[in-house]
Amino acid sequence: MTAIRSKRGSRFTAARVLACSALALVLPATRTLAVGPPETDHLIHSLQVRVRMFPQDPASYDGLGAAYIQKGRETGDAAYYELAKQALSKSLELDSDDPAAASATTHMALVFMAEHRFEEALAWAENALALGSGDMSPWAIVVDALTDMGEYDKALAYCSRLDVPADPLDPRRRLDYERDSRLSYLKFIAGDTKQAIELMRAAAGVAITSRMPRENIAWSEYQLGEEYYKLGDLKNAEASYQAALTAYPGYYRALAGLAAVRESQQRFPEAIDLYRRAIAVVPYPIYVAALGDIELKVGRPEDVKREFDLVEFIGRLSEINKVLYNRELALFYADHDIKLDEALTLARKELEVRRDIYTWDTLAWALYKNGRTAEARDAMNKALRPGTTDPQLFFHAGMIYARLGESDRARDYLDRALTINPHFHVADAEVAERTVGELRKRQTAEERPFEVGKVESRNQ
Amino acid sequence: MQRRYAIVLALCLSAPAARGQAAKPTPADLKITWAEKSIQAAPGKYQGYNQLALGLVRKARESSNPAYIAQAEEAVNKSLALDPGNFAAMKIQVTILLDRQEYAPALEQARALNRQAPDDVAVWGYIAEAAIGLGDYDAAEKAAQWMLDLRPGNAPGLIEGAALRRLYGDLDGARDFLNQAYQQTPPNEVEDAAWLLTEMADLELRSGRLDGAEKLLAEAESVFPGYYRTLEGLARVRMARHEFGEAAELLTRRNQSFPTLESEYALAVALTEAGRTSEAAALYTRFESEARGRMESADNSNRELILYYVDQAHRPDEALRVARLEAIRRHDVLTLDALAWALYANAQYAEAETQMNRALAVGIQDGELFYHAAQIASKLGLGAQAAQYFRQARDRGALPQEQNSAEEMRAGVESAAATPASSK
Repeated sequence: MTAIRSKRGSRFTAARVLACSALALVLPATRTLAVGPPETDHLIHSLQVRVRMFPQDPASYDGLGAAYIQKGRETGDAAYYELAKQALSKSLELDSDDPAAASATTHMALVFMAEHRFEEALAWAENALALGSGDMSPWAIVVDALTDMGEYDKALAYCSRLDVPADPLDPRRRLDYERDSRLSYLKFIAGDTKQAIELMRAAAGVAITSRMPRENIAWSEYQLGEEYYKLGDLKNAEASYQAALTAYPGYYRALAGLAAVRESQQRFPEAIDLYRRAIAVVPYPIYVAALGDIELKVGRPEDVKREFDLVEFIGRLSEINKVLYNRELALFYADHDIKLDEALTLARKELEVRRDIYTWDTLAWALYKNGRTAEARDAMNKALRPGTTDPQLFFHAGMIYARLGESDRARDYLDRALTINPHFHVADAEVAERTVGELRKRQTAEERPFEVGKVESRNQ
Repeated sequence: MQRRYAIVLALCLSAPAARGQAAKPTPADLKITWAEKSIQAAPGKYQGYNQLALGLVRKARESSNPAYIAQAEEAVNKSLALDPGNFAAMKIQVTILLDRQEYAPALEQARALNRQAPDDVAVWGYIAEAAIGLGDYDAAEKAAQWMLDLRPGNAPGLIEGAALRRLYGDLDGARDFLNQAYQQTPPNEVEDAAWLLTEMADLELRSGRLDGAEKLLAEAESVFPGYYRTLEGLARVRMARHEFGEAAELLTRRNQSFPTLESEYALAVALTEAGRTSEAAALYTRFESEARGRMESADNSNRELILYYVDQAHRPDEALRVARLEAIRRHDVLTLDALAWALYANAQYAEAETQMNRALAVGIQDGELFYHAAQIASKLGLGAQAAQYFRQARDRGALPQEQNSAEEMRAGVESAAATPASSK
């Protein structure tokens, strides 16, 4: 209830919510748009008809833009973001300077987030807020953009803006889901895994009880699964991924998550099948690379070549893909000791727009693979600074310190990676084991520099 | 000038604000630059001119330089020449009228726009703003409530609502609304944030919470350094603390760029209180000359001029003439108070009481108004009423030069009220 006369005799008691479609469309924030694929196609078609009928209606163009964003999310086809941008630009051309324009402005921010243009996404989200519509959900995009830009303290501070409204009678949508899911990720980055999981469970609970779209429920369960997985809690990770698949059958992220669990459980045929199913929905290079790694492990070289070729093909398919998949390709090249110069170039390029811990980690790994170990250590320190407990990061750190001859520190990191999840990666976990063994042996033997390439290659 | 309506008007849109530039352009500068580029790219499109006009309105508020308003008007005229029916340009026309305090034509135009687009929140905001300016608080409340009902929590609605709550004497409620608006303000909108902080600081000041006011003003200064509204707010705090010299210094700084008649008058008062009477006298002379020049226009400083004639120049007849002139235009609480004060100075106590009661009936809790009401009640022999008003004046932070006499008078009235009738 928001009445002017708050404490005196009020003639205006309950707010009359004349909800308009633009407001409803702005509600789905970064990860909250969702209907199943056929519904999205149908929605796009009906909105295309609508904009032809009402070419001066900004809300129709905004709706169409939002539907294209959804389609982009469902298919992984970045061309839909360009279509979304065109529709949203038209909406903003018709109406851009009052609270009603906040919805299209917010959706524009989402497009830039999807395209990994974080500075622009941040600016658009700020513009949406500046329009003063009363919708606080653009703060979630501000937090997301800052997170990807590695500005974790600021991101954490702005999470508090998602707290309002406190009044249970306030007709504005509560933003607990947006707040808790973002806080969870930030806590995870900071190494507070217990609270991260609690928050993500709360977010998933909100998604279910508030009857959010199926994909939202699936995404939150998937995200919870990711956090469990990175902590090595395969049982809970599997349960979460399964819950995501129950909420949204065929959800590609959950299929890939479950594939990773199977990989850790050494159940490779199931892992291969799950990755293939995920790739059939959205062929993300990271899934294809993971599939290739498993196929390599189980001895299917002809399949491996096909998968690895596909990784590069997808990464280079379009201009936008070259932006979206810089980090994935850099890591892929570094992991497989191919095109190491390009791996470094791509990692540096990614760092220009994305300065989060995972980009620092990718840069560190590319530097390490290029033999620039001291620089790799500096980049790795930046990745580890917030306190994240991710076995993949610990593995990279361990390998870097091993080559630097800092055996104790190297062993510590590698032990931590293996303690969290002894099978954190189908190939890297074995490299970690071998390296720890070598380091232990050396502890009793004469101190000598760590021999590059002896144990650190995946192909032993 | 309130200029509440401008807080979100120029905050559009398709211009992702450039970040991290060396010279630190203000939000308005960024919007103007972007709009100029849009015009260069598509000179035949009216949208660019609308954006430019909004940027210039915004710049006027950032700087208190009225020249930008004239430029904004030029831009909006170009927009209308390209497309005479474009609604956005007509909205900007209303904002320009509001900036010039031309409330009656602004209200008329806003109502016409409202008939075209009854769900446009911003247009309801113009109606609320104009109605507040004219003193039609019922109409303003209705418009502001529509804003909040149409789009719960929207910042312009909260800001208009805060203005009304303040007028109704609900200072905490006003603060709550402003804080909600502040929570929406993104980090790049530094002037918006500072504007809201100065408004909240003023509420703290009027609630007698000087430390709170100072803290908020310090925050405003860190967010948007050198903002004239922050300097004005800090000066008011210093005045309330009886630190008149510092207040004068702050106002001198504030008046180094684009002083308003109100800020010049405030400085003159501070100088008077600081004992720098010759400097004050020179300023009063200039103020009077300039204020008289604008007496007939809507964008005047007639309230300050009336107070000057009553409190400083001791020309009650001229004060009343100006007050009656202004009261024809508008009936807001401050105009009614000024009229009452001028009537009091002319010994027309009964009518003064009538006008003062009209002002106070709205619910406003303002130390200066209570002080005036106390003086009037005192002259009418309403001892208990006068004592009550003096207490309220003291609690609500009456102006410093009046505060001492307020205390004296309160003591006098209370002592008179306590004296047995037989001994009077």
